[in-house]
Amino acid sequence: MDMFPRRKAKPITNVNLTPIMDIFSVLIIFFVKANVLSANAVEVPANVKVPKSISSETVETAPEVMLYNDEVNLKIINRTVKIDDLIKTKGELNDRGRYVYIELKKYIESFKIENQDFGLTVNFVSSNETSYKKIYDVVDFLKSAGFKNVLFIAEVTDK
Amino acid sequence: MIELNITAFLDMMSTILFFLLLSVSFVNMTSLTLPPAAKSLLKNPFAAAPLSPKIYLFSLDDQSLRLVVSWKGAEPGEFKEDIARVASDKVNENLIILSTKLVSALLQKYPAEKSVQLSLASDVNYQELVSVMDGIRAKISEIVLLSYEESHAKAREQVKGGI
Repeated sequence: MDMFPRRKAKPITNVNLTPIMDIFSVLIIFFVKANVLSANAVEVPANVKVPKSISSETVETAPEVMLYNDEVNLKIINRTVKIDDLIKTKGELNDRGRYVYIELKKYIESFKIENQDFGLTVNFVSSNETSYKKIYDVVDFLKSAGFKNVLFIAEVTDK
Repeated sequence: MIELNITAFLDMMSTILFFLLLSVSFVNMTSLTLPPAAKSLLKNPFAAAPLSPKIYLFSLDDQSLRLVVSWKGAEPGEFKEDIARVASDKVNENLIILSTKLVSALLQKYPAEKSVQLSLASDVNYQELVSVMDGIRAKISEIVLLSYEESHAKAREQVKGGI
């Protein structure tokens, strides 16, 4: 009698992984394509609810300016300022506003030298409840700094 | 029969799949362009006075807005209509329809007009601005933004005149 009885050999079961590999490959190609297509789009934080629009214009790749909670984030020059800094009092900007204005001018000048229009367009992102006064003040500042076109970013709605 | 060990490959595929799934955004964005400011190219000083059509949107109270389309020229005039307000997270479809309607009425009178100036009161929100722009752009693509002070002046004029 054997001390260690032989175990009955189990049949080797092979799981057919071909369908799952097929699905995985298709999903990966789909997501890579979706990622590449959305790479040109603007970055909108989850807490910012942009307005909805029936417009069918595509979003252009352009520098982004975001106005949220009275703060203006200028990603082009990596600065965030209060909206009050961009409004002139007695025809003058305060120190922070002047600094941002000069930085933006420098940025725009660099594009003028290269003779490109890309840098003269800006994507404007803000929440749907932002008042027109704030929007106008920021747009007015951007135009005075030298930006030619301001693109209002909105979410497409079918209605 | 040689069997390939694809465990590592499957692990990598799963990781990439979840990474891409989390990073992708399905929200479709659009943009509404504000054209660059330009100088007038009027060369004939005896030409008819320009119409310079302006569109104003201001609130009458918390519940309603007034949309006014006015023009100058030889025969100045205006169209206006009041509309109910909706919450800022909803699209005011009636505002889009009304904007298109009033701009169409202006174009029926003056079909050659190619641009309008738009002024909104300071308390009008971004969603309402986009909705008005959507309505106008159905007929006229070039919109120039004007200061909120113009709209306030128009609102004062209408209230003073009891209109």
